[in-house]
Amino acid sequence: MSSLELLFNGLGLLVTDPVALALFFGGLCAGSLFGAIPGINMLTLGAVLLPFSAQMNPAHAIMLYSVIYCSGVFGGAITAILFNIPGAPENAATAIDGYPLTRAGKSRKAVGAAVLCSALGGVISSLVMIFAAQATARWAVQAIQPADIFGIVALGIAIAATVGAKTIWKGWLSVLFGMLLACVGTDPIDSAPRFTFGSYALYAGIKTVPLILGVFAVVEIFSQLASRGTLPAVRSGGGSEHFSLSDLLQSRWTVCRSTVIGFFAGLVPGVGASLAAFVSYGSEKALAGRSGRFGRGELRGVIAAETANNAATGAAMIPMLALGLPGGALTAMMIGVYQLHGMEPGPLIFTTAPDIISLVFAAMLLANVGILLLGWVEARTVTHLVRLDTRYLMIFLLVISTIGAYAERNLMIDVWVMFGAGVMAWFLRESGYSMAGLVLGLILGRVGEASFMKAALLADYDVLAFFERPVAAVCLGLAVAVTCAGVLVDMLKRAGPATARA
Amino acid sequence: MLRKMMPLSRLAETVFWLAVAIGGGLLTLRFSRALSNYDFTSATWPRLILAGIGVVAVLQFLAERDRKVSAIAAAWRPGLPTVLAMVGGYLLALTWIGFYLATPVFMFFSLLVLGERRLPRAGAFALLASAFFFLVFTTFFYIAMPAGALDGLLDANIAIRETFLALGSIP
Repeated sequence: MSSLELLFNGLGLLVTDPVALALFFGGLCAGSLFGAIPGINMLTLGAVLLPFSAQMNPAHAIMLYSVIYCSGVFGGAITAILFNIPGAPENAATAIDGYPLTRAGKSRKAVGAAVLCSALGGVISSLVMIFAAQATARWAVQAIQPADIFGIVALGIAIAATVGAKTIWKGWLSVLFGMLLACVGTDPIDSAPRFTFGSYALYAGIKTVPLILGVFAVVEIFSQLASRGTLPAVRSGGGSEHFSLSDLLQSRWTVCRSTVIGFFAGLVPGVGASLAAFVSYGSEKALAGRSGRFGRGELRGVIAAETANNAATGAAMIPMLALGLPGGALTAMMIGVYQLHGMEPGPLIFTTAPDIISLVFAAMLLANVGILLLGWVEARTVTHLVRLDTRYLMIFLLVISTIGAYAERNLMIDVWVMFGAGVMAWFLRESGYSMAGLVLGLILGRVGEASFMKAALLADYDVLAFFERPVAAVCLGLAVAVTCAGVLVDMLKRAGPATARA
Repeated sequence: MLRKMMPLSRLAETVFWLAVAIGGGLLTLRFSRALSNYDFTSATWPRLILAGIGVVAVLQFLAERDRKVSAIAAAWRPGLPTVLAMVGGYLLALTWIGFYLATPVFMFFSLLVLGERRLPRAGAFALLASAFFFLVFTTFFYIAMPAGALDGLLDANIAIRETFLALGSIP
């Protein structure tokens, strides 16, 4: 099937299947809700839903996650603009200029810009994904060998280690710890038990679901409960000025640049929507120079951040769908959904399960269009959302997480693993380690070891032969470069204050 | 006093990672068997990772000598022991008292511990939310949650579970 046929097939499947439609709208609203409520985000929702996705049809489950991805990235924009409370890290850059605009009485204009540009960035990115993913998969089937997969994994690990944590050292320790956890279980070649301590429950390895629940859901619950879930006071802004077509035309180049930045940031494993928003915001600020009012209420700041973060979503799906390699925490959860249904994501999915791909294509495109409706609804209801008593919400989520961890295998050990992971993640996260890096280490570590073993066998144990393959050589070279650049930036950051003190 | 403790905490962080690396390395000796038709052993990959952890931990220690705030001290919150005790208690209660009896009680008392003083509101929430969980996950998803281990309570949990399971078979 061509990409267009897949898209139309998906649209047909979505509108004629009441369950798919219900999940689509449920995911759209829930993603936006979790994105808007401070302290929790779409990752919390994804983690809580993960065990229950096993009860769903695999196409419905993957579709639900793709919809949550789109709406969750947008969800916190309106709270960021109206109350200076970015519901999720993806919207932190939006608040920098969004809230000053609200204080200047231009909240309607800022919200309108955020809604329209999020939808635009997301739709463009989804369209590119629809046409690029299948071509990438076709190329991957013909050209990609285990050494190349290992190279791509190494690059993903290097980037995941460089961004997200407080320092590059903490980033590397987060990723390496995730990779170590991936070793628990049996060896991928000879099934030799490793780090199992004689427990049969550990022979299957550390299950992804309890770990994800622990490091994303439980840690947020601990964090909110330990600080007694106090939220900043709610302030509302007024204003009657709307975001008009002429405003959009005036900002067309900002939209174009931000879409491109967001798309490429999303494409690279480990970067994601949060960084895309900051990079895009930073580049617009640099381009504007002294002429802009960045930081004091510049509409282009809101446009740049919101266009880029949604443009990253479609791009992040390309390596996930075409190569089975997650670029971020939510796409890593999608890999978990595939595994719960006994499927291995990768290029063959396009031929073995075209309905999944069709539904994802259609749902992501429509979810980004749906942001227009969501923005209208959210702007009218968000004042009530931020007044929710987080104690009730957190206790509710804690019980759901417990059920979720237990449900997969009906074993209490999974519940203990979840809480153990939550406690560990609390200390690691609060100490500046990256939880997304840890989960990416867990997922990529498994893929990395299997591909390393196969590639070494094919190369007759000559590891230097990996560099004879162009894709592997480029990716491994980039991985080394990214790591060196990360160390250099870290050293410069450290040297800055020291020089200033001197 | 806190200033004196900070270097110790930073050292403790490094010691923790080195303990992971060395302890893990020692554990690999237990499964380092040669694989059939394969030059590397099943311990090769874990050892590479453990070596990486050790090296990065030392580099972090050296690079962050001048760091002012201790990482582990920064992670501490006064409310954390209460939350951990609450959650730990719930897990033990799940094993012994059972999910169906422990959940409403846990929700009610957790809210009180967290400062909720409106008892009817907390009680209503605990009962309604528990009923929601039982209905959605037991009746519709057929998830049989733990029934506990204490004699009388085990029967009570099973009775609640069967009631909610039976609701699903009503046409």
